[in-house]
Order: sequence, then C-alpha cells, then structure tokens
Amino acid sequence: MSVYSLYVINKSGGLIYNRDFTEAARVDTNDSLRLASIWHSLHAIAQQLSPVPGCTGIELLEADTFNLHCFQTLTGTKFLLVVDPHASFIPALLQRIYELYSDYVMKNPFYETEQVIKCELFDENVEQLVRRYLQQAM
Amino acid sequence: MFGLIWTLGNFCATLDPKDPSKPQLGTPRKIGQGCKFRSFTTNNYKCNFLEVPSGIKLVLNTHREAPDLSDVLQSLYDDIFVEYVVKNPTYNPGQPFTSEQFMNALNAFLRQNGLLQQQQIMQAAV
Repeated sequence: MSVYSLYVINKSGGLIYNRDFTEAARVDTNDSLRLASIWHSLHAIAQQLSPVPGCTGIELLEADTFNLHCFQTLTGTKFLLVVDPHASFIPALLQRIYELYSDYVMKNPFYETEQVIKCELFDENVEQLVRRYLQQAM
Repeated sequence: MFGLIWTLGNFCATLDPKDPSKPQLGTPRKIGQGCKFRSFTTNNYKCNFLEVPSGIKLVLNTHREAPDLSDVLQSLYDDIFVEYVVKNPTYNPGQPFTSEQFMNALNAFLRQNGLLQQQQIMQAAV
C-alpha cells in the first residue's frame, strides 16, 4: 500500500514537478522528462480513440505491479500518481494535491505558470500529505 | 491504436517501481519482458489488453465499470482464437482473417459472460 511517485505535467506536455517517494521508483531525469511528454500524447490519443463521444482522457492505467492515476484540471495541467495496485482513495488524494498546488504554487507571486515548480512549501506539504495518507492506510 | 498500445507497453516497463533491472526508455523491448500493461480507464470507456507470447495482441473496449478482464481475454485467446483461427489450415499468421465460426464462438462467449448485453445497451444509448 504505497505511493511511489508524483509527476505534474503542464498543458503543453512538459514535466514541471517530479517527486519519488521510494528509492525503487526512481527514474532517470531524462527518462522522466520523456515519460511526461509521452503520457501527454497518449492521453490525447486515447481521447481520440474513444468508441463513444465525450472522452476526456485516461484516468487510470493498470499494470502488473503498479497503477497510474491521472487527474486533469480544467486548465490542462495533469497530476500523475504512481501507486501500489491495492491503494485506495487515490482520487481524493489527487484532489488534495491539487488543492495544495493551487494554494502554494498558483498563489505564489514569484511562480510563473507553466514553469518548473520550485516552491518549498509545496514540497513540504506534499510530503506531509503523503506520509499522513500512508499512515492512515496502514 | 497499435502505436498507443506499443508505447503504453514500453511506458509501463520503464516506470515499473519494483523491477531493479528495468529497461531505459527507448531500448527495444522483447515480448513479455518487464511489467505488462493490462488496461486503461477513461471517463467513458475502458480498454483491456493482452499480449500473448506469439506477439498477437488482444484489445477489448468495454464499459468503464467492467471488472478485471485479463482472465476473460486469456480464455478468449485459449478457447476461441486458438481453436478457430490458429488451427485453421487456411490461416496465414499475421494476416487479417475472416472466419464465421470465430465470430459465432466469440458472440456466444461474450453473451455468456454478459458482456455483449452491456455493449448493446451502450450502443442503444449513444
């Protein structure tokens, strides 16, 4: 029951925040940038490929050893969370992370939109939130 | 669709948090190597996927609330594809095929599992 990593992608597909919560989840920096852009394109292709109209993109990707949850905001920013397949209440966790983002990143007067996120308060609060979630899940 | 499936496969293998020897993005990947992608869900459909050792890929688009269908896909391959297509002497591996027996067996199997009904309801609603 663990959270492996968090990625935040801006609306043009570039990676603006990456946080690994366990050592095993670490991906090479170059690879993480590429993964973010690839995800952005896959999200769009899946939308086009929908057999019924009105698709807004991939929300959950299931694999053997992990699940990837994606939350897309109204502005096109995507929050990706790589978690254990048995983790629960992840959409709520993603919603909380979005709230932290709007509080500590968007309301920061020195932060330029679509740029890399370098806000200490955001880092600390995300860390605390994930730690609390993992403790509650135990 | 093939590009999407292939890229998702590579994506999952690179992102796997439990494999100490996971491949770097961009390296060629053999069939069955690394973490396998099973399905993705969007707000109005779910795409289930299975790749068999021979390289044949099965893709099944269902309703979003469908449960884990990897067993269904596996039995679809074992009982229907292998029986009616692979064992057909006129089948060329890798080529598109038309086989009435395959279609009938497929429909019967899906109806048996209750899956076809859901699809019909979806089509009626659209």
